[in-house]
Amino acid sequence: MTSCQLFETDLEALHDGELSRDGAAALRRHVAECTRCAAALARLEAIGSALRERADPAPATDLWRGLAPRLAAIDQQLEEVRRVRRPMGAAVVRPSRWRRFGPPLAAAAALGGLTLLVFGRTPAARAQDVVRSLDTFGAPVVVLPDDGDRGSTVIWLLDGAEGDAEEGPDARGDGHATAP
Amino acid sequence: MRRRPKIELAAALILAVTLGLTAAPAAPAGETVEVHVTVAEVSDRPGAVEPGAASLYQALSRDFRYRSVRLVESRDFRLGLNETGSLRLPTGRWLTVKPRKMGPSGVLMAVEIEGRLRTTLRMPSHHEVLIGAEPFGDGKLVVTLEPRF
Repeated sequence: MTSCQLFETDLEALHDGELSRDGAAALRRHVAECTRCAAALARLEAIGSALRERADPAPATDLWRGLAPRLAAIDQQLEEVRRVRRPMGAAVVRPSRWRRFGPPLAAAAALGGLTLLVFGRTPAARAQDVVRSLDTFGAPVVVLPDDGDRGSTVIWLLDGAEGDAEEGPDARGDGHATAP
Repeated sequence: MRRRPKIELAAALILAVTLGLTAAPAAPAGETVEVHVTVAEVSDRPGAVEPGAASLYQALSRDFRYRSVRLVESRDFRLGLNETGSLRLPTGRWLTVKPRKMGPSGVLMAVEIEGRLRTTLRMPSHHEVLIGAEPFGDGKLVVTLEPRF
């Protein structure tokens, strides 16, 4: 067994901050001298960054089908915002602070709610925690993090019809996410 | 000197959380990992959600609109570190899982679906990962993995 093989699994632990101080120091010495392990460590760091950047992928065909029924709720929220908004009348009375700032604040709150409804999840804090490397042999992929509601992490490989017909460029995954 | 109870309270909370985190039990090293694997077909075709696939359906139903879930296979592997468990999928491809390392944040697991996916996952115990793998039948073949240790 080569020294690289000895260190291979420790690279993940180093990346996750799970090595002891001595172990981390020894591995860092090895990485400083070994281009192969240095590249492997760089790939680990790159996949974390890539998944963070892709935390909110564009909805795929199936996702859209799931979201469509929620649009009625979004419409209802927007309607409530419209009702809150006062008509701009001829009154000379100086509006109260609530009247001045209430509608924009309500609109902002509704938009925030809308965003949560549409994207349906909190930021993908756990996606990069669970998925450490991902190679789909060139196929587009969507990774959905566990946001607490679902209770699981989803890795969804899109086949031809799903990927070609509906996916935008942002939703296309790295065919080889392990290779930056 | 003026007392600041809120700051003290916040400091106490931070300390308690920190102690709680550091006291969290680490995953046992050098032991075996049980990996529960299910293989299912999800489809738009009207049909039943089989009892064994109810949790899979529930996990998918928020973002996907499949109407039937058929459980194809379920298997439990008990694997030591760097030991490989293999399962032939109904599409003919091999699924392999290999626990590589245990750590406080879970087991590091190498997973491969031959020719479709190669991934490394850091999975806490009982955390489920669903993989929409490839077209199958009228729908899609879904593999779920759940380590238990």
